[in-house]
This record gives sequence, C-alpha cells and structure tokens, in this order.
Amino acid sequence: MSACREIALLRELKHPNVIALQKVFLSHSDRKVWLLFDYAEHDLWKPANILVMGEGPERGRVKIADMGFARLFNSPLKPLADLDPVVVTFWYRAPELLLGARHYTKAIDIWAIGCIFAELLTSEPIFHCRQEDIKTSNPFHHDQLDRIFSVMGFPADKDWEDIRKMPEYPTLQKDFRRTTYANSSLIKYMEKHKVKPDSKVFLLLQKLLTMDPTKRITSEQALQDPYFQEDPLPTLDVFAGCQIPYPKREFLNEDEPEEKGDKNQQPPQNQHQQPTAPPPQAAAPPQAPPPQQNSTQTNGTSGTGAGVGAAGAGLQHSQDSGLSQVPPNKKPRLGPSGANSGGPVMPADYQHSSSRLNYQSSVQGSSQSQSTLGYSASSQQSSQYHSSHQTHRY
Amino acid sequence: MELEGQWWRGQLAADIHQALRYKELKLPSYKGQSPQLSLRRYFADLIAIVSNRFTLCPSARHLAVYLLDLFMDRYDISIQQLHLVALSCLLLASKFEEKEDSVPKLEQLNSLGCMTNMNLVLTKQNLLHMELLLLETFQWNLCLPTAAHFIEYYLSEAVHETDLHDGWPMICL
Repeated sequence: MSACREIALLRELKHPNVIALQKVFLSHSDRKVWLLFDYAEHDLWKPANILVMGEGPERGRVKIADMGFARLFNSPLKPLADLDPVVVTFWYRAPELLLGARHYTKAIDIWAIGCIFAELLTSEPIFHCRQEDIKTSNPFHHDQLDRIFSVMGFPADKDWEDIRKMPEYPTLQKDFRRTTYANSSLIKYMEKHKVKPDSKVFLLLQKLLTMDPTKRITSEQALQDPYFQEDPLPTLDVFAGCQIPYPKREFLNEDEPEEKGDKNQQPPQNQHQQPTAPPPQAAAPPQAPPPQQNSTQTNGTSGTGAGVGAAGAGLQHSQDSGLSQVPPNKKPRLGPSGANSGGPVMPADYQHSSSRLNYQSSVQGSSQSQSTLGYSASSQQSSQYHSSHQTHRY
Repeated sequence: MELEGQWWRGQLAADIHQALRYKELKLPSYKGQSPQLSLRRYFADLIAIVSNRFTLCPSARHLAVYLLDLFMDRYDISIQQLHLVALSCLLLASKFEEKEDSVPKLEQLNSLGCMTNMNLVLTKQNLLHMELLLLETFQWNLCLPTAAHFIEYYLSEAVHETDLHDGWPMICL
C-alpha cells in the first residue's frame, strides 16, 4: 500500500477512540512528510498500539493508533529491511486467514480483539509465536497454527464444519494431527493464569476466540455480554476517576539531537497551520515520514533523490490560494515552462510552500521516529511510538 | 494483508457502499470555471490512454480525471504544464486506488509512444513537485468516490448470473 494511500485514509478516520491525524506537513526542500497526531500519554498495549489518554478533557480514554503505519512499516518495499529484518506478527491473525480465507470479515477483527482481551487478562500474547519473515506470501503459517492449536486444542469437526472448505485445508491435514493437541484447551490455558472457566470474563473470551468464524460472537453481541453488566461496569475513563497509576511521561527536551540547523520550534504562523485539535492534548510528534530517504521507488511522493531547490521561471501563482476558490480572472497561473522542455518546470514559487512549512525536524532513514519535535502549543512532547511498553502494562 | 480487491463481493459491501455514498455527499465543489476548459477533453483522453497502457483499474482512471477537473478549476495552467498535471493526477490516483506494484514507473511513462510523440519528457523532480502540490491542494483527501467506484457494486446487485441480454448472459457483457 502506498504511503500516499495510507495518509489519505488516515485523514478519514475520526472517532473518539482513534488517534486522529491532525495535519500533514510537507517539507518541500528536503521532501519529507510530517504527520501530526493527537497526543496520548500512555502506551496501554502493544499489539495494536492501544493508548490511553492522561490527565485532560479525555482523561482515561482508550485510543487506537497507528493501524495503517504498522502495516506500512512492515511493508517489504523498504530497503531498510536489509539492515533491520522486518517481521510480521501473525499472533492476532484469525485461523481462517491462516487457512487461506480470501475475504476480509468482521469476524476476523473479533478474533484479534479476543487475542488482545486475553493478553489484557494474562499479560502475555496468547498466541505468541516465533515471528516469520515478511517475504512469505503464503497465508498458511505452520508455526502460528501450531501455537493456536496448542492453546485451543484442534477444532472438532462439529465445531467448525466449513474448515474443510478452506483453501489450505489439505495442507492442514497433511501437517497436523488432532491427537497432538488432545490435552489442550482454552480452559486449561486460562486456568494457568488464574481465570476461572465459569467466570463471565472467561465466557466472553471463549465467545471471542471461537475457531469457526460463523459462530464467533459479533461486536454488537459482545457489547451486550453479561461481562459488561457486572461490576466493575465499563467507564469512559478507564481509571474511573482514580489516580493514574502510571508514571508521567518524561519531557523530551531540546537536548534531543537535531540534524537541522534551521529547525524552527515556533508554532506555525500561517493560518494553514493552526492546529485544529483540542488544545494541549493535541500535540504529538510527527511520526517519521513514510517516504524514505533511500526508497527504491522512482515515482511519486515516496520517491526521493534529487534536491528540490532548483529555481526556475514558470510558476507565478501565490501558494496561499491553496484551496480557496479562485475567480477565473484571478487564477494563479501555472506558467509556461514546459514539461517537455527539460527545463525546470515547477520550482520558483513552490518554494513558498517550504517557507510555510518551517516546522520540521529531520529524521533520516527510520520510520520510527526517535527524535521528537517540539510543538510549542503543547507543554509536553513525546513520541507515542517508542519506549516503555513494559512500564505501562495494564 | 492483501485480500481480494473485489470489495463488493465481501461481507462489508453494504457498509463500504454506505461510506462511499456519505463521502460522495461531501465532495468538493466543481464549478467548471477553468480557463483551459476546452482542453479538458484532450487531457481526459490522455489519462484514459495512459491508464489503459498500464491496465489501471477504472476507479483510478476516473479519480485521475476528477482530480484533474478539481485542480484545473482552481488554477490557470499552461498547456505544457497541464501535461505534467494530468499525469501527476494519474499517478496519485493509481497510488490511491491500485496495488503498489501497479503504479506506473517514471521510466515506463517516459517510454510510452504517446509521450515520445508529444516530445514529452517527465523528470522525477517535476513529478514529485507536482504530486506534492496536488496533495496539498486536496489536503491529502484522495478518497473521492466517482461513478467507477459504484458501478461494480450496483452491477453485482442489479444483474443476476442468469440474466440474459439477446440470449446471452448479461454478466459477460
């Protein structure tokens, strides 16, 4: 999936429980893309980057972050992968996907939620498994299925009748024996973690982690589950007004190494850059730009290479016109220099846009930003994408 | 995880259709006020020809033309520049609608017969600049449903496998 698509889709996401992409900043001069996200204080959970808000108007609200970029980061297109082997986690992948299901369904998401629910109860990934190399395009992952059966037991024919119709069923038959898993069951696994099989929490987990996708509970049914009717009742603030038990994130200050001398920490002056977010919560570090410095692509926003500074005639419009409708007689003019001339086509006034985008830092070659960018509307900056997962375990 | 691209066959089809309808109601306004409006046909054809050469999907082609329309509506653009604008629109649209390996590459674009006939050579720098300008103009909002986004879903709802036209299955037409 292209970075361009990821960002465009992230722009669409608006939900109280989703970390919103507030703004995309372009840096034309070094061709970087900065993404401004909502800021959330605590990493609650690693799997799907589930975060929980600290003190503030949305205190204790759980938010999901980073859905798309997790995948983008796992994309095999990056030459980075050579240096830093990229692996994909199949721990949250539903059994029907591992057996070659071709359509995305809501049930697939429910399985993943079940995995995370179990992880919340036991503090360990329920289907933890050796991670595999990204390059495998085969849906069938032997080790992952083995892990699932080791926890759940091998599904009985009556429990999942349609398993025979799965594209990878022949492989399953060839590679697995039911008897290997005769002693495994979710009950036993959860009992080891002190979760009783007659508890409401176990019964809900069992419905979420049902092997047959057609029998798996739906989200609507899950919300009506007795587990959510018993004490403690669900609250918007997960801390239920109590003191927040996690240490406050440390400030990242200007000691952070910076590669750019021209970095400007002032809030952007231009009206285009007014943060649209609710004030102090909203600032988040831009995640490093998806376009990689050493991308192999030759086209498009993810491309790189040649500097952008070359100036030339050809473009006499005011960049400020941006989105506003311009009456025909006042149209900004994209000038005469030709696409076929070999001469500079764009330059000149596009440079205006980089001066608008004086809010930049530089992180080279890594899409997981370690350096963090000051944004002075906020009193704290910290990347929600790195550090200290273990300290915030729930 | 790349599953089949045919969303209209999946379980989520009704939800996706509803989301597209909702997006459609909020499309940016188009006034048809481009000073180069008379050239629109030519550049829409260019987009169609190039997208056929790369066997891009109809929704990428339609999105490209729509992006071109919106952009022309807001800027006074020379003919030379319009070539670059049109092809950048096509690239952006294909990046949004297509799998990544279907997106045309610069060298492939430049080697197309129609490009060399026009004595048109695109440079990486020019394309990148134009793409960024387009993205900024549209504020990265490329999720713009066109007729092409709906047609497969409506066909799948409206035409049954057994429906005939002149004695032949409609589904083959």
